[in-house]
Amino acid sequence: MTVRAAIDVVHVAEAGENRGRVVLRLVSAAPDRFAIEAALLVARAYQSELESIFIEDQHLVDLCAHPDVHEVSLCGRERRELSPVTLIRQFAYAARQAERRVAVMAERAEIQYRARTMRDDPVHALNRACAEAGPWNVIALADPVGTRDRSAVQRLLGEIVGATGIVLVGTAVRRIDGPVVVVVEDVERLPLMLRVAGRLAVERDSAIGVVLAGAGDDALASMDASVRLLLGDRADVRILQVRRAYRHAGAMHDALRRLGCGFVIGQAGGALLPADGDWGEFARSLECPLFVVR
Amino acid sequence: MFFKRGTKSDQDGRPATVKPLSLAADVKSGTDPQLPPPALAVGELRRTVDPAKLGFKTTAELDPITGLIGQDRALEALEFGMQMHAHDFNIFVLGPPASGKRTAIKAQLAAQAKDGKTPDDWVYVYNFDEPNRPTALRLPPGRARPFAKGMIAALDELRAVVPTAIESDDYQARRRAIEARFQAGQDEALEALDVKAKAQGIAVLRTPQGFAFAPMLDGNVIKPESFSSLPPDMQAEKRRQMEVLEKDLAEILERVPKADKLRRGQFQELNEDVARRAVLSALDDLAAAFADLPHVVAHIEAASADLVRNIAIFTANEEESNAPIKVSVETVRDPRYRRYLVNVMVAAGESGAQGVAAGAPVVEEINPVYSNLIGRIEHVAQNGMLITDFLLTKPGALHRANGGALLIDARKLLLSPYAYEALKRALKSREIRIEQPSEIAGSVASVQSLDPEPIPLDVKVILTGERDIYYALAQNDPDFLGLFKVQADFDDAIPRNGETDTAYARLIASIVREHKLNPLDASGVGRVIEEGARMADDREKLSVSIGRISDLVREADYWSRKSKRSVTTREDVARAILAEIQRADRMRDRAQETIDRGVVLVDVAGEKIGQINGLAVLQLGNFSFGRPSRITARVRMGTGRITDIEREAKLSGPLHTKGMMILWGFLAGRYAQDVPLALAASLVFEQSYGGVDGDSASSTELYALLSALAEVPIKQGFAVTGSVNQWGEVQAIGGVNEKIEGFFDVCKARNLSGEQGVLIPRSNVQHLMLREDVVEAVAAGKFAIHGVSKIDHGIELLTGIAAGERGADGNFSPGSINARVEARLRAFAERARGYSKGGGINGPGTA
Repeated sequence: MTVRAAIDVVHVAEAGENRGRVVLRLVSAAPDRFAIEAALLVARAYQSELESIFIEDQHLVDLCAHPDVHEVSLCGRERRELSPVTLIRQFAYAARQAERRVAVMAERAEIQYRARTMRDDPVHALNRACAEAGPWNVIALADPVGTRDRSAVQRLLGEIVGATGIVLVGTAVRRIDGPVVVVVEDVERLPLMLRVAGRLAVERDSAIGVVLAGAGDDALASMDASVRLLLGDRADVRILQVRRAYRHAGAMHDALRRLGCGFVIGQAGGALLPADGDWGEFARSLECPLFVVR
Repeated sequence: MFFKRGTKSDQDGRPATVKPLSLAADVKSGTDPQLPPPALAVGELRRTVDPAKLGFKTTAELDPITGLIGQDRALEALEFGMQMHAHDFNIFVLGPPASGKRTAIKAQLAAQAKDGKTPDDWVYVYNFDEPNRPTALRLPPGRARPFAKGMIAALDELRAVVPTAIESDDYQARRRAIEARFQAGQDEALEALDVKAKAQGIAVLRTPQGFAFAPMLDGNVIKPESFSSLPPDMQAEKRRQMEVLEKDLAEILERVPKADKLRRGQFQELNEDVARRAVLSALDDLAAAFADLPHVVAHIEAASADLVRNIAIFTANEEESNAPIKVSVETVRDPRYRRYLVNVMVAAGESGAQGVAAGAPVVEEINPVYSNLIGRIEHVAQNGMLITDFLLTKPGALHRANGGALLIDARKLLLSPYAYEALKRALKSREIRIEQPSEIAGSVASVQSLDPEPIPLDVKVILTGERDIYYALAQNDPDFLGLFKVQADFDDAIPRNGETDTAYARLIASIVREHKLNPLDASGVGRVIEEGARMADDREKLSVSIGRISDLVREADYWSRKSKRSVTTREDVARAILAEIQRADRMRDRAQETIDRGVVLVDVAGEKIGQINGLAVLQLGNFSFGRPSRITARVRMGTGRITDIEREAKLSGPLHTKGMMILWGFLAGRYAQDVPLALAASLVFEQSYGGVDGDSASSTELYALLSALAEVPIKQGFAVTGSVNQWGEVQAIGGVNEKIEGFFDVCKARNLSGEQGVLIPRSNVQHLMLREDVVEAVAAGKFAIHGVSKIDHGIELLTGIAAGERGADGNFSPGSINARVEARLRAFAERARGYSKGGGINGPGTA
């Protein structure tokens, strides 16, 4: 049974509150620097803790007993049996490597950090972790999301209870400095997203941008008016309009690039990040971290 | 006590005696060679300075003098050496230490160098072709620093410009296009494989070290136990499908490196395209500024090409992006940029000790160890290894002095391992080649090393040192005289006259000014000049030991201030001299005490046969003092041998032995022309337990021997010093003042009787600068100094009996010392002959 979080706010519990933290998912020995920085930024913005969970995929461990399953090396030149002993040793080594890297960066960022390893189904493991102390968790994925990961990410959003958002980076990520940009498709969600953007922007001492994505001029004009009403006299927020088009992700990338964005906040379930559609390409090609809120 | 030699001996053979003379001032001087010399007049004992004749009241009125005084010969040699433009005409300055010659030489060299040509600057830069062989670049004076700063500025600009260029839309679009082409190819292949696998009911799973395929059923991976329950043909089919997929995956993955290489190549091309524009723009101004120096421009071009190839170094690294403040290249010394920096080895205006901005440099290396002289290659520890690069190449004194003069203390140079050899090597090859001492020593230490390009050398090396060092080098080092062809020989002392007295006073004035002391009045200056003569051991000379003079003046200043005087006087100087002696004379006191208490036997009254007081000088650091020592002689018939007990006991040096042989030559020549010298004698320094050297006691020993042979007692109130030659002439010795004062102190402790004195060589009279209390005692008739030129004069003074001269009959005056000695020796010879006939002893002439 899938249980959706019935929480409409994006929040992370403060350190010591024991009602949530930033949960950093680790699956390889070399987590991405920008992904870790993005997780740390969120933790700093909410003064929360960071807990990394290195996931040893239970399915892989189970497969070791399968006599017909072999492992093909990354360079493709070697085919070998999948040994449980070797696999677990490799998991342990990768966990140590990844955790060391995170620990160094967390110490530099002055964020409380703890690490643990879980052997389970990857989504189930995160679900369990969030359920242990929730509901104010944000999940951060430490490895860049590629084309083949899109289903896993959507599964995370759909299945995990106790998390208010997911922070991820694509394979094209290359910066975290720059304005925090909110992609708005639904004006009703704007106040919530602006609050998140405000927290992150203060932490980085950066500007805020708003990209309005509407189906047509009327819709955009209406959204623009609503946004300006919400913003009041805040002159530091730059607003861009993007008409929803056939290649919506591409147009959105251009707009974000024009803003030089360092962090994008987007809403899951819209045209850009459809709940059941393909938004992997958008995430993958994004040059900065993406914070997906429900 | 003084004696007049008898002019005629008694016919009856009684001894010819000399009658004592009074201390009357009209005593005839000893200019008559037949007469023993009278005591020296007070004026001959010490040359004092009349303050009134100095012509000033205090040194405040005098112009200080900075150069050397009375050293014209040495200064001319120095000037010649400096102006002689040849690599092998280097200079060795000989002279005593602390004579102020170094300061004066530096002043003179600086004056000459000011008009000299300012040498070129030298830098080391990275060698892009041979990284371990840094390139030396010569630049006109004053242009090395701008070059180095220009490179840093260019790097700073690139650090700002390159990231911006890389952020540009144009660059990013082109980069994305490349990335997309590559990524799309790989992703599409993997995606297609994924789709194909799924279609066949097989899952593609990612492992920590690769990929794995697993059979699925209803969208889920089949567990092993479930798989084995499948129909065998289905299992076989799944296995076959997985094998095929594994092969497909291997093919895709094997293509990755090739595609990746292609992608990197395309990125490189893109980066170089962007970088070229940025690099050329950043280095254009620098290249234009040095367009007149093709070798510098060539280096800039090489650096440009390398920068274009390595433009990625300007993209921020992890640490830097997190740093709160972006620091400059110069400060951060980021290893990525080091190869483009410039190591300024020597730049105009930085080589001179006084920071002379123009002219030839004059450098003094006070610690001439190898690395300070030739330069060094420093290392830093990194990951347990010692690594280095061209920026860690440090200049030595030769670099700084290149084009000018380098002043080095020879003793320090010789005491520094490898330094002297390295200096010679540099002078001979006319280039500075920086090597690590470990390389020279043949060490096999595993450190990264460099071989910097040698820098041409044009330097005038000036070594300063004592004479013994010069002569030792000249004798033992075949290269030395070939490289140091100019010797500038500074005298230990300068002639003393009115002119030099004035110069000395000005020198004292400069010491006063330099150390901000109270001025000295004329009496004080006079006392310092007198002490200068005493230091020179010659009243006709002045010591140029500026260091000691400076010490004395400063110490006198201390006493004058302690007495709350604003001017330093003669009393202050005298007190300073006395205080210095008192600080150092513990050993003298102990020696004096042993004599006073009768532990060391020294008679200062009475008469004894074969016993005489000799005089020795002991040197302890800067302080020396004289001490009397009893010398005794015993004689008997023998085979012509004098036993020098000191030599037999191996307590004497070669000079002492030489003196003994001369003494033997005198005896044989004077008394044994036609008879064998059938004498056996023994001579000893009584209670001497250390070594004895020098021939200054040879006349003393001869007197003792003559006394023993003539069986005539010697007056113990005398002490004697002086060497003797085979003709019986008394020759000069050293330390005459200390010797006289040493005996005077012993006599004074036992009350001066008026019959005590010292016999010194006549030729030493000019060296007398005796203590004032000695002079006062002589003036009061309580002590006497005799300048003796012949043994005959001395023996007459010591015994009161005429020495005697050989008459027309070939015999000495009857009763004279010489007649007695000759008679005794003939008697020994006769007896020896008798023994020989009887076979009891060796025959005559066996000596």
